[in-house]
Amino acid sequence: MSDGFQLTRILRSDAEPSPDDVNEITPMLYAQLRELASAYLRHERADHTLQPTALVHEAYMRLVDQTEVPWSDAMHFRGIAARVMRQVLVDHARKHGALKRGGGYHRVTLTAGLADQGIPDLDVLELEHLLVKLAGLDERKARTVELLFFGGMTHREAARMLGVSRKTVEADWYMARAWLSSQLGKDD
Amino acid sequence: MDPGHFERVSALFERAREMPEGELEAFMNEACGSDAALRREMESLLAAHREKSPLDGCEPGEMAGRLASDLRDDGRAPERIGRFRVVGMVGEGGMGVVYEAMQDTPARSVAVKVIQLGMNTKQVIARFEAERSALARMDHPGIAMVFDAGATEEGRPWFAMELVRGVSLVQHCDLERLGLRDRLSLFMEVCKAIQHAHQKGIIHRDIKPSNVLVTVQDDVPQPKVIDFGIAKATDTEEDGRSVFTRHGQLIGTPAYMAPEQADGAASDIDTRADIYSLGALLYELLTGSTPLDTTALRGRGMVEMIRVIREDDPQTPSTWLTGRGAEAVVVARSRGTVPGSLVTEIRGDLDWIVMKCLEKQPDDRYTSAAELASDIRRFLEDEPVLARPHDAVYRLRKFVKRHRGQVIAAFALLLVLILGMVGTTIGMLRASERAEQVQLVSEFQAEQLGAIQPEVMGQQLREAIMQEVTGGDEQEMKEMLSRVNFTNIALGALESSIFTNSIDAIDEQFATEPVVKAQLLQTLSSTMDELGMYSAALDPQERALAIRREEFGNRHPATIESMGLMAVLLLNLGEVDRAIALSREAIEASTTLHGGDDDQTMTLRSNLGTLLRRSGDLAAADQETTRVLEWRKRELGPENPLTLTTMNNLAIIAKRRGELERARRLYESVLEAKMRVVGPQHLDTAQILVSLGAFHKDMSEFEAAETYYNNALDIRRTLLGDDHSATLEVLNNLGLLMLAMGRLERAEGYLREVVDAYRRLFGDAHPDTLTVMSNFGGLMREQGRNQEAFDLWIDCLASSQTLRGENHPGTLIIHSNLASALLDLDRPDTAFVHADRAVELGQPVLGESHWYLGVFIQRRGEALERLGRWNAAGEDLIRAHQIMLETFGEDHSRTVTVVEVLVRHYERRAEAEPEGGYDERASEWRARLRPEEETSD
Repeated sequence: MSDGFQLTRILRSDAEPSPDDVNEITPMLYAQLRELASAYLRHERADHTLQPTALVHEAYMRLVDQTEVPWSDAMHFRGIAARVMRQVLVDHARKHGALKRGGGYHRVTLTAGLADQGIPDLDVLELEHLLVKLAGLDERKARTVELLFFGGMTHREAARMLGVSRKTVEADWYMARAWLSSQLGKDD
Repeated sequence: MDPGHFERVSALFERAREMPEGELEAFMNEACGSDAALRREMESLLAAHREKSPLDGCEPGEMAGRLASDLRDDGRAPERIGRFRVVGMVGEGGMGVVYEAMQDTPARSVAVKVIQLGMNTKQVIARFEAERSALARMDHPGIAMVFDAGATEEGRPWFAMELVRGVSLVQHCDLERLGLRDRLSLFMEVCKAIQHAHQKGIIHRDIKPSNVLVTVQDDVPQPKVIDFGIAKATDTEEDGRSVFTRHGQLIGTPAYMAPEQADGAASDIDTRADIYSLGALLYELLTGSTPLDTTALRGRGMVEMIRVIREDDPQTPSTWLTGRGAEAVVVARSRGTVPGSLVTEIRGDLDWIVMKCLEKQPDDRYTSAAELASDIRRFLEDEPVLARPHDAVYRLRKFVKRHRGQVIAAFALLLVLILGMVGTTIGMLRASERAEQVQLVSEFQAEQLGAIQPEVMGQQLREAIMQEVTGGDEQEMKEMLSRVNFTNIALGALESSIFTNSIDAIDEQFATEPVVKAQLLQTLSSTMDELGMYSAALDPQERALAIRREEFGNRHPATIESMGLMAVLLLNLGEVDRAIALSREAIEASTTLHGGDDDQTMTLRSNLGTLLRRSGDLAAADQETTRVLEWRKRELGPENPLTLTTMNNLAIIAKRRGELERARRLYESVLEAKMRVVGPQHLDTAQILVSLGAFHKDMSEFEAAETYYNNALDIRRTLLGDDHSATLEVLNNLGLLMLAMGRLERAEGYLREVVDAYRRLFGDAHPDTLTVMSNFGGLMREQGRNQEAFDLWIDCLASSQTLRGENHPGTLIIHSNLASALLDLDRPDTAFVHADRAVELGQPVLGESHWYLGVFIQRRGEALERLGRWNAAGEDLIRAHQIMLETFGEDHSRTVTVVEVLVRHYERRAEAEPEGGYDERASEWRARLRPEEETSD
């Protein structure tokens, strides 16, 4: 069975992706995202903003024959991709942290890029820690953050994905955002 | 914290989030009471809400960028690949990374190429396995062996092969400054190696300099061809299309790729594709350049690139070198000679040999690499080469090629003469500084430029060539010419040899005379605008206006003229808002200058009317145009052509506004006046007949529409000929009318004629051709040929995305058409994807209330219904109905159609969910259909 078939089978299931699903396609997707990201960096101009949506979309185009997969599957894929994106980042941060071992804890942060906007850097592992905590309090809010932040979905797409209204997604997002922001930087 | 508490806090936060500042305090007091911890928590959340969050700062784009750069650092060499121990990295290319590695048994160094692109690893390996035994049978000093293939831990395919330490053949020749004979000897070795592979049944498919390396042992250079079997193994599309066109992007090496490979039909590739690539390699060995300048084309997209590979004939190597100037000196020096001698040496036999390899048709190339090698040997031994032209077709083709150039050159020369004369005349006049005469001359220039008709030029070009060919195979000739888009050739010649030169000349000659310079730039820009070269026209237009503002100020006839013309150009470029602003500025200036109740201001107002109509502000458009019409009726008379044009414009606006009777009266008045003034056999009359035809078609008065169209068709056929775009426009309208009337056979007759003509006249890669082809798909769908329609539209979609862009309305319509065809093919899931794309991309481009968007939303609703997503489907259909209702009114067929769809929708839903009360909804919608039925009784 080829990778393509396997992926399509996973995508065809109706439910949210199970951890097994994610584990099954993560290597493929992981490799895809990495390759695409570095390909973009090689070929695009420096001022070109890289959109994870574009990355995820392209990874999808490459992995799945688009004409064969209905829309719901496409969203399903992006749902998984959001989770994988998060995992890729976390793995990466852990690895880099480990590399620095002996020299103390090396924080891997996501830089806002526009430094003069006064936006603090984001520590990936700290965010991960808080997201896990948030999931314990309200799973849907955590998932919403995952879809919007890591999956690059619009509110509308996330609403469809989660089967809730756009208003609900909005409410979830603002609460989660406020909560995460207020917790970030607090050493606990 | 526990989930229950979190939920309560969330609920409070949700209410507080959008609360006005004034009410917040009271709310907090009430909600938190004496619970100070809760109060602190809420306040901290609200503060965080109001402030920037690192979650915003890390815009998703930034995050991925960061990820990408971090990951890039991560690209360290693996320790092992398969059973090989990695020693170091050899190189990095488009396809992947090559490592040097050690094999234990037998102990040897190997090169391991890890493929980077997203490929289906198992398939790649399976393909390699299929060829493995054939690959293993190859045994030739000029071929680097491929030993093994496998997958890395990350799932990427790799290939292990003989490690060749060397540089590419081209580099080797240049570094050693090899003369032609030495180069040809090495190339013959390459041919022999390829011949060996071909005899074993292996096609390389990707011969290019970087795949032909040269190692030097004991001072003897040995070329080695690497990567055998890899191109095929990695060509993993299942349907026989090559990687080249996969996912709409270019993968591979187009400069060396045979046309049949570029076409993407991987299954048709045979050994002669390798012959083509060998020819391209030889071309580079001789001239230092590839036959087709594909690097320059990279930015212009796949379709254009493929077109060039398929259609453009490269210059012969000697022609390419001639007139290269300094570049040729460098090329010649690395071949140990001077340009003159190099050209003489190549011209003739070597030209023929190279060009025979590069023939577009595989049948016209050498039949084998051995044959190619033999011809080179003949050249080296001064024997006559095989490649000399021998048959009639070949000679004819070459003749056309030569001739085409000459005829274009003649046209270009003629135009340069006209312009040159103008330039000279002005040059002479400059001494006397007589502004009037300058004006006169530039008007003359304007007149000459205005007379340019690329279509006519193209036609004449075509006819001139046909006339030259007597006694030859005329049919063959016709067939060959039919593939040439002469209008484009004429336009291309105009742009490159006339306009660009003119702008440069104007800049240079009139640097110190801004007034004349502005005048000339304005003329050029307007001409380019008329020829449809909108984006190229913008720069001279902007400069002309800027100079005039500077020199004359804003309230001056010349400045106002430039403003008006620039507004029209901006409209053509789709920048409607900017166009309207400029147009209003022009009117204001003109009113100050002329008083407002004058000819010039009215012309500007008339244009503003058109702009407003395009922007969708129909009420304002109506007001402006009515004002112009009244003025023109009074001042110019009711039968003046300008008055009638305005009336026609007003009719269009009235129709858009749904004032159908008013529109009809206006159209008919125009027609009556035209008949009186210019008579029935006149292009103006034809124009209004077409408008009336379209009007009646939209009113579903098909018979009347047919009569109008037929009359228009007669006039245009007589006056303009069969191939004129205006004639074809009527034919197209007639075809669509027949389609609407359900007379499919006649529709097919008309539409086929239109499609054939457009393809012949404009070529496939032309927006108008796309439109008519897309229409033809509509016909096929009506005929029940859904699969064919789908196939056609999928092709149209790809071209449209490239030619017109992803969110061009034309592209969106094709998405919507695809959705319809897919619904009929019972593939609602894919139909949804296309319809959804049309809606999502269309909304920002068309606005929320455009009726196209209504159609797209309706399609999406239909797809959603078929997917069983009742609620979303209902929402879409109701939204579609709302748009149609607002655009066309209640009785229009489009509105009625959506109502019918809605009725059926609720009927089906009632069946699916009998308790949901959907019967009532169905009858509510059905009730809306009744009045229509009653009036028709």
